[in-house]
Amino acid sequence: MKTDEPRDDEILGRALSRAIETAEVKETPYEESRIALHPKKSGGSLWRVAALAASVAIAVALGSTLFDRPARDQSVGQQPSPTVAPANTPAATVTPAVTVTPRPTAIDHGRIYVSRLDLPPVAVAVPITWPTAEQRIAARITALRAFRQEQAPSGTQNLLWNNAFQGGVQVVITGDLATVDLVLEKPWTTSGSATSRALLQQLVYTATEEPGIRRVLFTENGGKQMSIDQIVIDKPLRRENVSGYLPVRNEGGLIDSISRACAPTPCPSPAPLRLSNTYSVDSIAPGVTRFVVLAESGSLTGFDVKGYDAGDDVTNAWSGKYVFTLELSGAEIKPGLEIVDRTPLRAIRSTALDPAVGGGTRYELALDDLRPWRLAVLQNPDRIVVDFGGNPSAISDTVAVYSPKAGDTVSRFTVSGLSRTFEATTSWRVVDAARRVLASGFTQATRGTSAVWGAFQTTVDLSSVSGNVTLEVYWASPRDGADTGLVQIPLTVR
Amino acid sequence: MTDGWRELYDLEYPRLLRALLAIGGDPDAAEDAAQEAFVKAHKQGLATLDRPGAWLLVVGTRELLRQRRRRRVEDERWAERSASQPSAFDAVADRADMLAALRQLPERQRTIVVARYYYGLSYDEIASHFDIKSGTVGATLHQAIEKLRQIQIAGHLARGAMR
Repeated sequence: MKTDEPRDDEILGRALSRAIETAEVKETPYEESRIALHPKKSGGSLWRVAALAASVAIAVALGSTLFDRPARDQSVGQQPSPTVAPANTPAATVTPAVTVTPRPTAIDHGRIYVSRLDLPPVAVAVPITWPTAEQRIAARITALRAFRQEQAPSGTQNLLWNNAFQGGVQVVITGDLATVDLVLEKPWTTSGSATSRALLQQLVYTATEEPGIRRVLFTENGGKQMSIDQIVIDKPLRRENVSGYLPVRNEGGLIDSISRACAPTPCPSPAPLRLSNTYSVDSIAPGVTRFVVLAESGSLTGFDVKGYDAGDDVTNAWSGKYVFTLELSGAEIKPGLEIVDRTPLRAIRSTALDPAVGGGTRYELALDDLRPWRLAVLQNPDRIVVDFGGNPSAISDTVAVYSPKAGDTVSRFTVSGLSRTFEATTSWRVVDAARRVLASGFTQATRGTSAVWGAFQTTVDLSSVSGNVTLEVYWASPRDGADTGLVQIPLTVR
Repeated sequence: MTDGWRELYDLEYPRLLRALLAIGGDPDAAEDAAQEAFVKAHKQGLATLDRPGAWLLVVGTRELLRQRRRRRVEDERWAERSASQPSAFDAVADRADMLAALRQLPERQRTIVVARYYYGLSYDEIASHFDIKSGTVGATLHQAIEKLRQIQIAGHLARGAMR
């Protein structure tokens, strides 16, 4: 710390930042804060209304990036089924004119997949009622052909609509492999390699929707090798081969305890730990599925992440291709099964563990494929969040940027996401097409190098720049200073 | 019905509290100023806050310094706290040193240092939020850090001499 390097100021600044961050403070939880205890006395002044439209977007962006807005509250409007409404929300129990339908206990495999640019495909529901697995697979592929582009949800495309395949499917099943032969009257039409890959994703995900099927080999016109533009399909494919994510290392076995400083010591005797869970799909960031376990009372003490296991989706009607398991101490308020069926999260099951072996709750998430996951511990209130997936180009194994997203038009903007970087220092820079650095900086995440991720958020001001730029988020390797965990997000500055 | 307030509070309160503690040195005053900053934000309405984090820091700092002018006791309190810090580990002692050193800077420098290095605000943001000429932010920061470094070195030497 006593060298004459020009970066000295920055280094001392960082050390100071760490000293401030680690100072022992007694935090007041939101419930006891003045704004929670005292109802709002007055609204904003009238003259501010004009500024409202512009800043609402920022507030919304802030609200939806790092933090888990209660996902189900948000999605109730989109989801007609009353069973997804949280039973502990007073509004849900007084909603008029809802006929109670039995809570589903099985995943609905009446699903075909449409493509999303830069993201894995997403399922849409179609009725599939055939008796055999071969027939169902053929029916799904045929339904995909017939699924009109106009019906596709916004932001999605059906690349099979009006394309080479106009009907004629043969399916043979051997173990977990389906061989699917399509009648093609002409080569597939795609506009470049990105759409070719997206079309292949649609085919592979749709064919493997069938329980028990993990691999699919596509052929054309009676067993000939199929190709989609430049892509030659010469072997069976799994969802993981086409999802766009890097292979997921099995990081199960992550066990951690959550310690907290109590001032004055000793810690008050803990209230019984009661847990609730919630989830969101595509609301934190495109492609990000977030699962949250919240401490309703008491404090989280530790968790045990078992990670992914192959799911038995033939025997267990609630199981996905994979099941992600997380155990923690404390009792879930509403244990049981919830069918979600929103790509990639199919179901959530919570089970009380035997008190004889320590008790606690096991959460099992049924998932469509193996996507990278990130676990973070957030406080006030205590919660554990596990994020799955995201835009493959915006995540690396140590950095995940949730905002901004690729292609955004920006000027002053918030960069936020999760990271696990050396000393929690997460760096960013903005470069132009010639790789000149236009702006750069760093921010501290809530956690550093560890299996558990920390949250970061910082503001970038590019008001003196215009044109196409790339935001790069990374960290400098302590060994050689090399960019590590780099993700690159193309942006337009207005 | 938290309308985003819980989210904002959870994100911003912990660092606001720490920043105000670093600037003022008194945990009670920091807590009071942090809470008041949120009350003021609440009265304004979330939608009118362009950048809530920086806004809260500015308002919180103002609250803190207003209180300070009313009761100038916390310097002594800070001295007590610093003295009672365990120094079994150098890291802990270093951090305590660092915060104590920060407290020897003038109020304005202290605030800017926290805004820059703890909040990561840009020079321009600091200039506009804290009402400082943008050209002088860099120089002020450099001065502040230089002084911190001298205090630190002095502290290291003093500790070394006492062992």
